[in-house]
Amino acid sequence: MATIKGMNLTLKIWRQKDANSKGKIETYKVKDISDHMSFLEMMDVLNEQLISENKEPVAFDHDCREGICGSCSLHINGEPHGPDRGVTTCQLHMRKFNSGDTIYIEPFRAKAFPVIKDLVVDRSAFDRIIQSGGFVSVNTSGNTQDANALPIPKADADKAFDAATCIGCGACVASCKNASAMLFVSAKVSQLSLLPQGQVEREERVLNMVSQMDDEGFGNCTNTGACEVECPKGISLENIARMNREFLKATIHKEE
Amino acid sequence: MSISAILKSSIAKKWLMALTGLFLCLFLVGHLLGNLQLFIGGWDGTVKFNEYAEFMSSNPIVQTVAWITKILIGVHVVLALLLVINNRSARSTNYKYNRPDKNAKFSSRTMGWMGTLLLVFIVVHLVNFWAPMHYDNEFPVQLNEAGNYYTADGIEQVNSYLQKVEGKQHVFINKVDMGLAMRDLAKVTKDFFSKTENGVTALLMMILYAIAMLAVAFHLSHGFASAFQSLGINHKKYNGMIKLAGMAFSFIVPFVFAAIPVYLYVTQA
Ligand code: HEM
Ligand code: SF4
Ligand code: FES
Repeated sequence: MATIKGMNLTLKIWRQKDANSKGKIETYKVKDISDHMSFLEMMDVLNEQLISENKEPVAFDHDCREGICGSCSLHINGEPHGPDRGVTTCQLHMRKFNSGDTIYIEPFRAKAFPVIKDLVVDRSAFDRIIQSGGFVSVNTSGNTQDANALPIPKADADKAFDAATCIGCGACVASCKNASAMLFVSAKVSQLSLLPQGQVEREERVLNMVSQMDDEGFGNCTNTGACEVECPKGISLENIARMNREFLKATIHKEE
Repeated sequence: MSISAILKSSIAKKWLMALTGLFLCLFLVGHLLGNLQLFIGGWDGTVKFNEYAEFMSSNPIVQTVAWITKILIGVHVVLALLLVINNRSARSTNYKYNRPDKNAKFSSRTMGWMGTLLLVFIVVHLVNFWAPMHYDNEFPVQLNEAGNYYTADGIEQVNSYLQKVEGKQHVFINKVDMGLAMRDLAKVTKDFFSKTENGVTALLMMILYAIAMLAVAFHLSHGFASAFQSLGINHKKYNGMIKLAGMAFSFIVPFVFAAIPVYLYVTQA
């Protein structure tokens, strides 16, 4: 068990009053941070300090604080969700930092993710992409069907489950030099197109979701793989390749 | 898909980028195999290379492929430009502190820059060799030690002399037109990289050509494997092979290309 050290940190945080204001980096100091704290707990300490000084606390997104909801974000020292791998910001421990460190904290940057306030960005572009095709038809007449009645190859089920772990946090967009949302969209497309329940809308889905993604102003994929490295859920580039195949098939097949 | 729909769609553009990119990789192999003849020294090498060059610039199939190559370079470049503009605008505000080196390779982050360098090189290279070969009516022609000219079909014409017909250089014997003269691209190329013939320009060109090939190496060390991913080919069983092939391709092809000017510069007075 590591000893609890009191870390003193310099924080360079993006402050922006609202969507229409120009923001800037402000410098703050926090003292005696325990290395058992999560990054967001460290932010809580800062905010209590700011409140006690009668200053506006820093706005940031969070909800579950257990790595499953996808609410938390933050671009920490040049990487979305910070320097650790396979974790969200709420699961990032302060033990990844050292006393005396300077930490840059900025909002996720993308034209499609406009800043609302400080570190909070509007990620509803993802919701609109889901609305455009991220659903399946279900039969509501009569008895509920047993999902397990449909045989699914183990390999497909595994891949669908892997894709389904995407929590829609947007770190893929934030890390991509092109602010591309392909990893997110491909995870959603893959998850549904791999399963029998997703076959009805299979072709429409990929076409609509990709077209919505393009309309939202996300960039294009250069296959740099930054998204895969930064994704807290380890979503694989394999999904983007699958989406590219699905897109071609659907484009060739569609009648108009 | 209509052209405007393709230009609007991110994935459609990626497909075209990958297809044109892989076609250009094939072109590089063909071009390199031809150029290897420049390593053959002496009169034999000159004759072999010139015959090859005449064949390439007169054969209708080769010429069609050459024009398709130029058009596809154009398509690749225009799409690259659209992608880069689109990608830049997708992040309207940049990070104050960013560490792209933590999650992506240098080669993958510099596709646009290396491509631009390549484009500049392609233009310079066409001006150096292709344009004179095709449009210069004073282009040097092959002449052997006995003072005989050759026709473009590679036949030595004894006691021949040169005369222009409709602006082009033809070989004549006793006022009889034997046909187009064989051009001496081998000599032009060798002189281009020769200290005595081209002075300091030879050195600068050798360096420029080597830098351009370094750009090819970077462009393809990401681009080759990336194209397969764009085309939807990502499979456990084949990924290793594709990566290996990409690494080998992006090292060997530009290295051998660059070795030609270096060899010509170093071995010639
Ligand atoms: C012989 C010359 C060239 C070859 C063999 C070549 C090959 C390739 C390949 C294989 C790719 C990967 C495609 C993919 O990721 O799907 C690529 C991408 C790219 N090429 Fe080229 N290329 C050449 C010339 C150029 C030139 C002249 C430019 C620009 C002026 C250029 C700009 C780009 C860019 C920007 C990309 C990345 C596109 C993206 O964001 O995905 N290339 N190239
Ligand atoms: S793919 Fe990964 S990084 Fe992107 S939204 Fe899903 S969980 Fe977040
Ligand atoms: S707050 Fe829910 S994933 Fe971080």
